[in-house]
Amino acid sequence: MNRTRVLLADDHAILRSGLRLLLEREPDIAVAGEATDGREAVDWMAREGADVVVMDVGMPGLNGIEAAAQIVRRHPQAGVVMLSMHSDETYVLRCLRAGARGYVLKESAESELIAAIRSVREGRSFFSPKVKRLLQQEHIERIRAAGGSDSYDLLTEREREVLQRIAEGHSNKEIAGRLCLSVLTVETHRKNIQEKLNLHGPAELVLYAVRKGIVV
Amino acid sequence: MLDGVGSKTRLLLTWSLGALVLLSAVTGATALVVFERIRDEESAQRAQFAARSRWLERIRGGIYRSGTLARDYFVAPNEAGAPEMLQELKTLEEDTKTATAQYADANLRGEVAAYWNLLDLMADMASKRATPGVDAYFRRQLRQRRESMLQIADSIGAALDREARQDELASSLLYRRLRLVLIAEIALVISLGMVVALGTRRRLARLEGDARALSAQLLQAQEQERRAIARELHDEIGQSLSSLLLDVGSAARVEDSAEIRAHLQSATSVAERTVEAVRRIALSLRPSMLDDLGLVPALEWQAREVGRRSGLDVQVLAEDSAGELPETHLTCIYRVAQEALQNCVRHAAAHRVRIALQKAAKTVMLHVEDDGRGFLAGRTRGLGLLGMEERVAQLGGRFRVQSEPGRGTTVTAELPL
Repeated sequence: MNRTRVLLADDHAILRSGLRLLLEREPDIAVAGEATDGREAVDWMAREGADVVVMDVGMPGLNGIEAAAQIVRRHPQAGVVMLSMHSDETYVLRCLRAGARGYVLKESAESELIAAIRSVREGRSFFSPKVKRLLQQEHIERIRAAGGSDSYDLLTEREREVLQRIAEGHSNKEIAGRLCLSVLTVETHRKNIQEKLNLHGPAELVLYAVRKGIVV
Repeated sequence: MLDGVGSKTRLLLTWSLGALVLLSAVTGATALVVFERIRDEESAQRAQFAARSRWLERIRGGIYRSGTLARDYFVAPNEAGAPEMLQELKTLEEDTKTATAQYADANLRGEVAAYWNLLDLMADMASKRATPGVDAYFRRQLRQRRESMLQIADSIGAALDREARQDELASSLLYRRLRLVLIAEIALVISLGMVVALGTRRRLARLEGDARALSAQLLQAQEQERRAIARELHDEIGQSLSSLLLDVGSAARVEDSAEIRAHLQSATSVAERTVEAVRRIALSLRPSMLDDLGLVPALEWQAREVGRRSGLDVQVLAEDSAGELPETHLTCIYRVAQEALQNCVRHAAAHRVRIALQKAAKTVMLHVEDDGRGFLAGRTRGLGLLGMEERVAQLGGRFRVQSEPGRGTTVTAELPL
């Protein structure tokens, strides 16, 4: 089997070398290159390409989120894992909007990055458990503050199923195949879910699923 | 309404200096006009006086000359030069009569006419050879007439002199009044100038005092902040790293692998805590969101954080694109919003806060509006407000605080782009 080629983009050399050591222990992962800022990462992808980009959120010059957006736009088959110091949902949402499928906290990179790279390589999402926990906690607090009303209760069984698969990173076609539905029906479910939950776009759908604890 | 003290002073200074300049100009112009008028009047009076004197002199001269001529004529009315004398007398009569008609009072005019009538009568008599008694009577009459006429002329001359002196007196009075008015006006301008200067000085002194107090407060605040950061660095980061060193050192020394693992586990959890502490300290200094995600996400984050800590309902109304600003503007708006939010939490007793950011072609405008208890915006000026104002002023923007007790507070910052 081909090894997964990974591009490491972080402005701190010491962290890059730590990550390289970590990744090179794995038989199925190869570090293809390193970039010290977003611009370099974008250039590398145009020149050499990679299967997965591990991208620091905050970098000088072109920051990680902007670079991720550019890479996803130009290389839709490449997966992006964001590396971040922040568990705040503002960051998570921005990264999702940029098209990143993985979100890993730097403090837990040692134990989570490999899993994240593998998930993203297979087209699935990955979030650091701590981020998920915090987002869920916040969500619960918000529901409590709103008097206990949860719009999730409005979803039908089917819609919940569809939501979970969207959040895991499956395409409409894959979901249709798995649930024995037409693509059109899945599309309708997706629209209804967004309407009921007052969400806009796939990034918010995914974030919502994480908050709800639907994505494991 | 609370505008910059500096701009208020500028306005006041401009107005008062403008008023001063205007007052000086009006004073100068009035003085010039009055002076011109007095001079015109004076020269008119002088010309009139000269004309009157001239006429009077002509009357007098004519009378004298006619007296001599008449005497000569009466001595020898039938000699060779007599007709010429008569002719000259006629001319003199015409002349003095014109002069009196031009310029003399009724008295003099009557006398002159009577004199010439008498003279004519005498000339008539002389040519008819009157008796010496009649002759003598006429001559007496003539002398009397002449003398009374000359007296009148003298008295008119004296009157003219008197009049001239009166005119002179009047114009010197006018001059004195003009001088007084001028002195009064100059005194007014000077004292107004003094008032303006004094007021300005006092205001400047107050502003300087304010500025000094502000910079002292800022220095103090900066020092406090540094002390807090230093303490956190020492207490949290320093201690954590020391304990990390202990763990790693112990792990390197011991043989038992279970013990090594225990030390490494402890090291991991210490390092995790340190990462969290660094993140928290860095965030309190400057949120990385501002640089990583932009202004609007940073404002949203700030709103959420404040909401979570204080229970305030904080809303952010802004398009992401409104936050695409130069770095200086980004920081300014973020700090103003942050400070305004802090004020809402600390002082306003508000339930709801709305932060709105609008970007137009040439300006960007931030509103922070709360429904709290408000305050008298003209009176209270804390360090926070001054700091916000200063930040906005540095970018050439306008800063406003609108508040009334019981009516909430709105902070507005408008920056040029």
